[in-house]
Amino acid sequence: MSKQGLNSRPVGRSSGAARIPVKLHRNVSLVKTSDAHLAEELLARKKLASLLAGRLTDHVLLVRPGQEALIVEELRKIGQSPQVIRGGNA
Amino acid sequence: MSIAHSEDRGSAASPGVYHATLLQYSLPVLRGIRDHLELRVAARSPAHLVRAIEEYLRDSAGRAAATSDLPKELRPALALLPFMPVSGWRIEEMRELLRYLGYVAPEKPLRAFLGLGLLALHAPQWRVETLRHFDLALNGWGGEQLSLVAHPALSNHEIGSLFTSPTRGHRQIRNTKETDGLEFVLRVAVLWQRIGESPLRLTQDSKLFKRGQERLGSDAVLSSPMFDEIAHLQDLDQLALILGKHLGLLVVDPEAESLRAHLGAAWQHELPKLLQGLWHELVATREWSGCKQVHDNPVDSHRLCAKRWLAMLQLAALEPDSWIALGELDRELKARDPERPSDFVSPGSRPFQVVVGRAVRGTTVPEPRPAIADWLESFLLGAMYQLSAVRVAENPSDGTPLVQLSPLGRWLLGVGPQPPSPPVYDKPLFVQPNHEVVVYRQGLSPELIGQLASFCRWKGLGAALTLELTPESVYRGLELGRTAEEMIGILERHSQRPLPPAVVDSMRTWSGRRERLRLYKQCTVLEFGSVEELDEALARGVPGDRLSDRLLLVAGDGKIPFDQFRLAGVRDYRQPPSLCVHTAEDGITWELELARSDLLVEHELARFAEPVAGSNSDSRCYRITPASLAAAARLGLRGAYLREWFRQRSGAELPASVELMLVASGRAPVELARLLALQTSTPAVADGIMQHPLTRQHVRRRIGPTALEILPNHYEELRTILQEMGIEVTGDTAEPLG
Repeated sequence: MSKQGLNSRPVGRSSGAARIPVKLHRNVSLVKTSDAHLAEELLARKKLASLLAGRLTDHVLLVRPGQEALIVEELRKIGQSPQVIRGGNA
Repeated sequence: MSIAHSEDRGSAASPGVYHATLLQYSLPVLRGIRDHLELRVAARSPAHLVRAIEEYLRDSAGRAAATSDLPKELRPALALLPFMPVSGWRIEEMRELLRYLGYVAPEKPLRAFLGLGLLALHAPQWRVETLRHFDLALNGWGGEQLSLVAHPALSNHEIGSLFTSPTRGHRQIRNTKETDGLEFVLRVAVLWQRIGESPLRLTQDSKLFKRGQERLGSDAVLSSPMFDEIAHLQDLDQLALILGKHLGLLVVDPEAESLRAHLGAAWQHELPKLLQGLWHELVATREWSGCKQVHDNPVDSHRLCAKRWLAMLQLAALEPDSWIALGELDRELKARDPERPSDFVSPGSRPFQVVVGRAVRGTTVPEPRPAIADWLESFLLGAMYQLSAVRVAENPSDGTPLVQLSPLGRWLLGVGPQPPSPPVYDKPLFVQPNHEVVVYRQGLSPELIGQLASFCRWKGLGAALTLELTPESVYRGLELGRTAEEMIGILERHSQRPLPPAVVDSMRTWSGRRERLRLYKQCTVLEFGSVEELDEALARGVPGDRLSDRLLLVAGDGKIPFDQFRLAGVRDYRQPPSLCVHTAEDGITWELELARSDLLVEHELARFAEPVAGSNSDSRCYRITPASLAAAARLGLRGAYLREWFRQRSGAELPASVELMLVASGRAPVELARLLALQTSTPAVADGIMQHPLTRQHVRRRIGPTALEILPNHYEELRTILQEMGIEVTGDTAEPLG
């Protein structure tokens, strides 16, 4: 994971607490599973694997940009019913 | 006649739309209205003048004074103003309505009412800067966006009769019919549920694609005949779409260019209030007529709203307990049509009847029953009857249909009090073990319809409604924010019998399965430098879901408090990937520039490259090896993918050394052999040897611009020829070639 630019302590805020340095990733799509086995099961499927960019954590898979609808369709085909949560503001 | 308040007509205490519209006028226009009203108020500010005009007209004495100087021929038009909806009428509709009421120049009363502030001109695209703008607007300037809004106090205004010769009503009737008013509500609920399952794509003009129209048209429930149908209505699916949008239950999502189901407040309304919303749209819509005749004739469609209003106003002019024959009403309306044919015979104008031959028994010859206009039949016997705004009965003498406004209709028109909501039975449904839900209409309220539509799938409409519980319908309920227990509770509360245990189990199982997997669509992920910084952010109240030690997911309604952060970089994953990969001289060692990388790139690299030593805080190194390429090939990632990936991430072509390994992994053979080669100083010399007949016969092929392969055992012969030609030959064969 990228750490560039995040290691140095930030310039202090004028109103007390210092600002925390962050890298902002916008419009990221993820699949989050309740258990690691389910994540493995999904990655083991060739069609789904091609729509996923990789595994961020044991439970979280990174979706390739623009493939969200196809992912939902594929998951439904294999009997899963993902809860779709749209992004917040950023 | 006095017009009673309908709920949405506004009140003197809350001027609303009229007030807001008047505030858009310029100061000179407001001064002009003030002068017309002969108000003695200083023009300090537009707001001050608006308040003064509004106050003055709120008082009945003020209104009487304001209209006292109106010319006699304009005064009857005042009787129309109390019927105006609070949202107003489009100018052309009001103009058309006045023409039906006998005004050859409808602009005259409208101009007078605007000048007195009784009406306000709503122009969303421009500002009313001068009084001349009223004339321009009334003459068609500004297109169809313009509408007229009445002063709210006019809904209490004592009015004269709209019609100089009131229609005589029938009192002898049989077979009275009135509906429960639920038909359109149910159809909107069906469409709401269908679109909730799968949104409809829209064109750039926010219209449905043909495929979407076909999808709606082929839905058996949406297109099923109406319960207790008297007149058939065409395109019920389109009507449901129009009504659903009007109620705010179907909304256009401009970003996704689709029509989505929205959990609006409409389902919380009482039935009369909900029907009032539907009534406004049924009268005002030009996109739907219910009959083919109008649909095929755009001119008729343009005048349809005025005709609908006129029909309803004619019914409102009847005494509450009297009825009118539909044919008679049709003739009345046709007689008022400003564009009626010149040979039209108005009702009651037939002076005598010619009877040829012997005297017939009785005093009259039965008149052939004239055809009733399609639009009127569709509107009154179809739409208004189904809305429960109109009652229908039969004439006992000839069986022809008679109509009158129902109590709801009288309230909608403002000539009667609001009818009470119909009694609601608490337990109108039962759930069958096969997951089917049967509901009786008598117990339905908008709230229960909305609740059931949110987690059941409609199967049939009729006297009893059928729905079914499916995994998808329950998931939809969950997506709308309901829990499994809440859905079970709704069914239990309204069910006549205990729910079958298998149904309850199914609902819980389906709900649990859904919790296993979540797709976060286009969310924001915050990447922190360390776990401590992430913890600190959470401690400061930053909302989010921790994904790893350094990643925090912000989804749903989570707001990011940017004042807490210093942005070290922003990556938007809807944009093309940034260039962040550089290659070393060997072509197989790749360096990832972390400042420009994103969450995807490292995971993508891991699929076809191996991390190697040499990484630091600014960059990370990878190497492409035959083994890493073989692993990529097993994932289906081959040369074409790698070339495209490298072009996007580095802006260059895949290095030759990697191409070499791809060739190897592609199992294309290479040839390794001992050759007798002739190296020339320039390509021109090689060209000459290839061309000259004495030398050409000794050359096997050209292997480069300045290199030729010589046939085995031709070495000495070629050497001799070249020397005889005066070309110096150096070098020698180490050993004979075989």
